[in-house]
Amino acid sequence: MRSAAHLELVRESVTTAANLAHERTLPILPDLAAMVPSGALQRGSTLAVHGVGATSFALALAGQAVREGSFMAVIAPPSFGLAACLDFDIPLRRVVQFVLPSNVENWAQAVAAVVDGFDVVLLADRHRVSNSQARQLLARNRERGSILIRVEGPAWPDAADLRFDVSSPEWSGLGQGHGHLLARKVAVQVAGRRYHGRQRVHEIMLPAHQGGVAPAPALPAPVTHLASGPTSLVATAPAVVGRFAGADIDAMLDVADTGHTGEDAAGLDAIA
Amino acid sequence: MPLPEMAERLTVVSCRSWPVVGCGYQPHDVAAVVVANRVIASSLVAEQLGVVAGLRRREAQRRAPGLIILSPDLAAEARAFEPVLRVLDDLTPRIEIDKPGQCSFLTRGPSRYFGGDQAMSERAARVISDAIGGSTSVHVGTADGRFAALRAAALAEPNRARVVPAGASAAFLSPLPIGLLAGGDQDPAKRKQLEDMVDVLSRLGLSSLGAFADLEAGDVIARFGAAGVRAHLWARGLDDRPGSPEDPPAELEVAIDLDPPVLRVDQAAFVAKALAEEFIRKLNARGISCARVAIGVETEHGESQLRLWRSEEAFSASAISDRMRWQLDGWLSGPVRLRPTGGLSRLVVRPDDISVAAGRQLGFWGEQTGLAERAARSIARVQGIIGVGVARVPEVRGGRSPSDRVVSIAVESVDLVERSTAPDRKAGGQVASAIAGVVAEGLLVDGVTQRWIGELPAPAPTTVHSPSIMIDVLDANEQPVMVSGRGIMIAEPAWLVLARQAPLAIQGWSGPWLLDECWWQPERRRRQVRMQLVLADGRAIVATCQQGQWAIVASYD
Repeated sequence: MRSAAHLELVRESVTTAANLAHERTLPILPDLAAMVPSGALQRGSTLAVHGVGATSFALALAGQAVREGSFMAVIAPPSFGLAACLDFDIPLRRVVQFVLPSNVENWAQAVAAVVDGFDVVLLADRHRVSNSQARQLLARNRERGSILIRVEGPAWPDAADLRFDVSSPEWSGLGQGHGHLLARKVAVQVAGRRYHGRQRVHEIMLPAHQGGVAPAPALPAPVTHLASGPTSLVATAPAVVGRFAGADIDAMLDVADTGHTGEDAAGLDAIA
Repeated sequence: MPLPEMAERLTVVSCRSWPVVGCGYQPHDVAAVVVANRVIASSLVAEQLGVVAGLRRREAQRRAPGLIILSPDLAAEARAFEPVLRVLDDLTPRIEIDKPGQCSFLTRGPSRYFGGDQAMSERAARVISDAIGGSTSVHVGTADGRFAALRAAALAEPNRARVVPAGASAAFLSPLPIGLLAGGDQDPAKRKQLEDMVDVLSRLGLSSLGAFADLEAGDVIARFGAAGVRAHLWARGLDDRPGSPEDPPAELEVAIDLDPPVLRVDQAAFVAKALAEEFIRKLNARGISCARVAIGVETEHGESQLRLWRSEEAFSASAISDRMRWQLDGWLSGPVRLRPTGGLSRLVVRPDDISVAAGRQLGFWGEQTGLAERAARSIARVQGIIGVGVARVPEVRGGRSPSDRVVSIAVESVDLVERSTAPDRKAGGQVASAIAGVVAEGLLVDGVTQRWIGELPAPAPTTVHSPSIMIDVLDANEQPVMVSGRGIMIAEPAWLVLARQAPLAIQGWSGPWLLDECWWQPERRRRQVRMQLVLADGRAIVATCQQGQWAIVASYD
């Protein structure tokens, strides 16, 4: 008898704890749930997304929460393509974009104010912050229970709770002068302080054929760009390929976007 | 509730196509103001070409090629309206502003002073047409009841007055078409109700206001409910909401002293916002809503300005702070001779016409209440730190280039709370479904939400470079790839070169798709080819070639 009552008590406390934990999370797309601990986004956590496809992945991470009623702030330069939100079925009526001037002094203060008011904050701004400012922001984020998703950008002192590296993009649908971009297969690797799972690479379609996210098909998606052109190209112009190898379009676009010519360009020269 | 059988005698002053005039356009310009893809006002010439309120933007452009499409700028409208109010101040001290371009005042007092309704109304029309100096025409109407006065103003000759004798409003309205009732309410939901009612009435054979007015009030309420009763009162030349005889309690007034005095509009507007919120909080605490507010401004030199603002709906905090901003802007940025000589030292908001709040229905399913308010507060704080214009909200517009499809508009121009509870406008699906939709629904689909023909197919790029990044596209022999005037590429692209950087191999490309837009408008004309490119590192971009120059306009990340 006594053990049954005891068991009941334990069951009750466990469910209460589970409910509390649930309130401390925001929902995530089912297809991404396997990548994050306990299958939901922990409020107050900081996520960092890097690699080719980082912006899309960040939108995919935030999508479900915004669909279920949360507000999302996008701190990004005006060039941020808000139309991409539609591909991830994010209701635009709960999205607000903040364009912070690049040379502003109280940048961190403004971001802190944003963190106060929005459940999801997408930080795609390249502004550099001091270590102390970054720590203050992270603490503020933990306290307010928002989810801060950093897209690319300079490194912050504390490692993010979860770090997603998106890599090996393979577009499908586009041929040599025909078709158009349809879907992209990417590999996502998860790491970070809060991640204790097995290190493995998740392959997903980002975006999938009809928008959104989907698990990558078991068979490799038809990648049309391997059809004929490049091989013959390589055969005819090996010298050119050798000379052009290793160029980093990512860095190039950054240079072109921001107009930085200092250390970035120097580093690029070194690579090239 | 006993139905009111009296109507106040009212004079309505209405300036034609004010939203266009407020934006600085003259009546001979072909211009129209468009909100949510519908024309809300058009200039005189545009009106003659058939561009009337309610038309879709595409249809308006079809009727008047070269139509200048404007977004509403209520602040500019209010600023332009200030001189009109100034000359009316000489006629009567109590002017209610319905919206920029339209105001009303009680006829009785000024009419006695200026020698009768007709003389006073004509005088008002004359001084106002002098004040606006031919930029548009003014129409003045005097009648018993607001609805009748509005109709009288609408029927008045340009720059003249139309006076309906006392007690004759019902007879004046009687022959007018029943469809006018639909225009009696600006609120979209109520307007829809009225439109439905007008539809039913006209199918019942009641084609004039008089025929509707002859119905028994009891029958109307039984069939059409509260909205019907309001419309029935209008048709009978009565007011649905007579002014309350007693003054609102003085403690509802909120005021703030500005020390040091404020000289700039944006500073004052910032304070005004807080004041408006406090005002609404006070009203809400007592369960009162307010349809008319008095906003007073005083300067350090003792100059003062008091304006009454009226709204069909109960005022929200943002609506009040908007009106405060317009009023301040109109005074501080208006004609130099009318400007105050000193800084602003005091702002006052006082309710003028209060009623028991009907309340607002909050979202029933799924909406977490309070989140929008929280977001709005946070936006206000960021605006305080960085400045106005820092926050923007996206809106689906439609267009062929990625930057046209979703545009971002200043957060100041929307009500975040209302916006977040409004149903989403669905964005079109993939191209195939858009075409299928066009076929299935016979092009009746809303042009805004459906994808455009010639639009970049989904998915949308995540970065839209502005300005675009100049590049060179080379073929396998490192020769520049040219595109003919018909959009035919001379050679296959193989390399992409970005300003003095090492080239990247192009692995796949689409198109080129020829795009020739706005050929009827030289300054906006765009003739280019577009291509989607996949580069060696798996990155995808959108490149354009215009007049032989290649550029990256967007990239997929």
